[in-house]
Formats: sequence, structure tokens, C-alpha cells
Amino acid sequence: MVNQQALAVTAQHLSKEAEFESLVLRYQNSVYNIALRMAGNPDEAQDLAQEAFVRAYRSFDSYRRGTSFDKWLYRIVTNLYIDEVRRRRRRPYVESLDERIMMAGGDEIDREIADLSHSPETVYDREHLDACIQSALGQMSPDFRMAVILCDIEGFSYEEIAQIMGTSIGTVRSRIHRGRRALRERIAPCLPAQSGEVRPK
Amino acid sequence: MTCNMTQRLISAYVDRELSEDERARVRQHLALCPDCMAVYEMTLEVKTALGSMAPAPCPECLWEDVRDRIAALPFQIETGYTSGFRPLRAIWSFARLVVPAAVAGTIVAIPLVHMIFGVSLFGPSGSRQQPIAASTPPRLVISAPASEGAGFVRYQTARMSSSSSKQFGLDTTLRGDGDPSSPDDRLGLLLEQMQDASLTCTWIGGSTHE
Repeated sequence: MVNQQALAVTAQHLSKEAEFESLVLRYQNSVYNIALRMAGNPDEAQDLAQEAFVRAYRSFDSYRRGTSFDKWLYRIVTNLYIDEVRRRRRRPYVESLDERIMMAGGDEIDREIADLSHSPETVYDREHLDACIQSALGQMSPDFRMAVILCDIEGFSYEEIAQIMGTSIGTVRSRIHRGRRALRERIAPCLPAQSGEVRPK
Repeated sequence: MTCNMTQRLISAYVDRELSEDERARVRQHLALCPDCMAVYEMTLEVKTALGSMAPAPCPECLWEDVRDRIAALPFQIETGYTSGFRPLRAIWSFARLVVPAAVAGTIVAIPLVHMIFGVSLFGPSGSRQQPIAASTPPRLVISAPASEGAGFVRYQTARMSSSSSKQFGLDTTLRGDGDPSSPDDRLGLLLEQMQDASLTCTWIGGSTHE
């Protein structure tokens, strides 16, 4: 005899999976994009996005239906990334940029590091500008970076960012102000307008 | 508005996150200050540059990897309730809200009731504090056989607790003139103590003669 209760639970489980899948497919691009802008490289971004979705699935029961899924999800991404950064700070991984890279076949090659602040011929190129911004973002503290990414790339209001990051609107305002001030100085040389001479009083 | 204050508000100005008043003041300052205007333009450019970054395509394998990891998670069939409603959790969330409120309300209400209505909530149920006459303690009942001459009476005191009296065995023998209705000094002292300590006293035996 079929256990009715087990059947009902299984059906519920399957419908939960189906619901979750549709939400992942809907938001995976923006989650990945945020993860990429936060982490700075595709491999880490993919790990971060994947981990965020698995954690979201685990606590999917606590997600209140009818509320904004994306904000709930981005909050998981934010906390995950900031935890990861803190963890890494305790076990810092240092790699010298002058060191040669050992290839799988035993060959050694030199690193080629783009000089993003010079060579005006290339900074007009969209790709280089993006790389310049990404590099500037990577130098900011994770809190400032996340606030700026959520505001400028994802287009959230300060109130929404405060909800995602679990802080006050005043803190969001301050993080965005300080984050952009740092970006202004670092991105200025890459911008076509070359208004890098401007410095706040 | 100073340049410093203006520049602190420029990011929020660009994001349209200022109040009307702040917005008007920043606008006014920008119209007069080329330096701050340059910072504003630069901030706007940074925002635009970030917003126009090419969106990175999500790797197709992302959902597949997530699905594999989810599938590997232990699948638990709960033997309890299959619906979203969980009575224990509901009771707990209800109690979590109501119990502290009830305790706080009681703590506030006891002294208030005591003060306003003069009802002692710890005395006999529904007892109301009566003004105590100095000469006759109200809760003291003494009955003794009529006596002649000197003798002693034995009293046992009991604390009144709600509707029943609990004896705690203080057995006092008083010697006096044998007339309980006009107690001597020691009896008077005991009566006073009992009155202060909300004690009641019942005569349980004795003899009029030693």
C-alpha cells in the first residue's frame, strides 16, 4: 500500500525543486554578474554563485513567498562573499606578480600584466575600461564594493540596498559616497573624458 | 553650503536619494562652484561607466552544478505534518509573543491594583485591606473560657494564606491575669507583632489556673 503521507511529502519536495529551479533560471544571470563584479574572476564568481544557490535552497523554507526573492538571494550572496573575504584574510594567499608561471608541461612563462592607467590608445576600448573598473572595484573594501555594485550595476535604491546588506540607509549612503570617491580617483585615467585632474577639495 | 558638505552629498545627489531641500542646496552650490561641478560630472561618469559594463554571460553549467549539489543533499521525509502549517511552531511563536507580555502586564498590574483598590493580591483571596484599629487587631480571634484569677493561656499563631490558614507551630504560652479580654503587656506585645506580621491567632487550649 502506498504511504499517502510519504507521497504527499515527495510531491511537495518535487514542487519545491521545480519552484526553486525556475527562480534560479530567472536570477542566475544577475547573481553571477554580481558575483563576478565582487570576486573579480570567472572561476571564483561561479563558485560563489553556485554556493549562494545551494545555501538559498537549503534555507528555501524560510523564504517568505510573495516577498522579493532577488533581494533575499542577493543578501545571501553578500553575506557569503563577505564571510569568504574574512576567512581568506585569516589565511591570506600571497602570490608574487614577478614570479614566473609554471605550465603543466613543465615550461615557464612570464606574466603579462595590463597597465590600465596608461596607454591612452587602449583605454577607450570598452573592454579595457571594464577591466579598469573591475580592477578599481577589487581594491575597495567588500562592503563599499557591494554597495556600489548593487546601486550602479543592479540599479537598487538605497533603501533596497540597506535591506539586502542588513544596514541602515545612512550607512549605505556613506559606503556609496566613499566607494565612488575611491573609484573616481582610480578610474579617472581610464575614462575617455580624461578628467582625472579633478580632485575633491 | 561648503564644498566639503556638497561633495559629501554628490553621490546621493547623482542617485536622486536626497530630500528636496538637500537637493536644492546642492544644485545651488553646483551652479556657483566649478570645482564641485567637476566632481559631480566625474561621479556621474563613474556611475555611467559602472552601469554600462558589459554583463557577463552566466555559464550554462551553473544550474546543472547547483542541481547536482542539491540532489546530493540528504532528502528527509518528515513524518509529521505535510502542510506548511506546523502547530508546535505556531504555538511557540504565539507563546513567544504572549508570555513576556503577560508577565510584564502582571508585574505592572499588581502594584497598581494594590495601590488603587487597596486589594492585597497575596493575602486571602479577594481580601481588601481594612484600616486596622489600634486597640482591636481585626484578624485576631481569641476565645477562652471564662476565667477567674491568675492563670495561663496557650496560643498558636498561624499565617493566613489565601483561604486556608497554615499553622507554623509557634506555640506560645502566655501568663497573665487570666482574663484574655484584657490582656497583659506581653499579650499586648504579641498582638502587636502578629498584627504587623499579618498573623492570626487562635486559642487552642489552656488552663485558668497553674
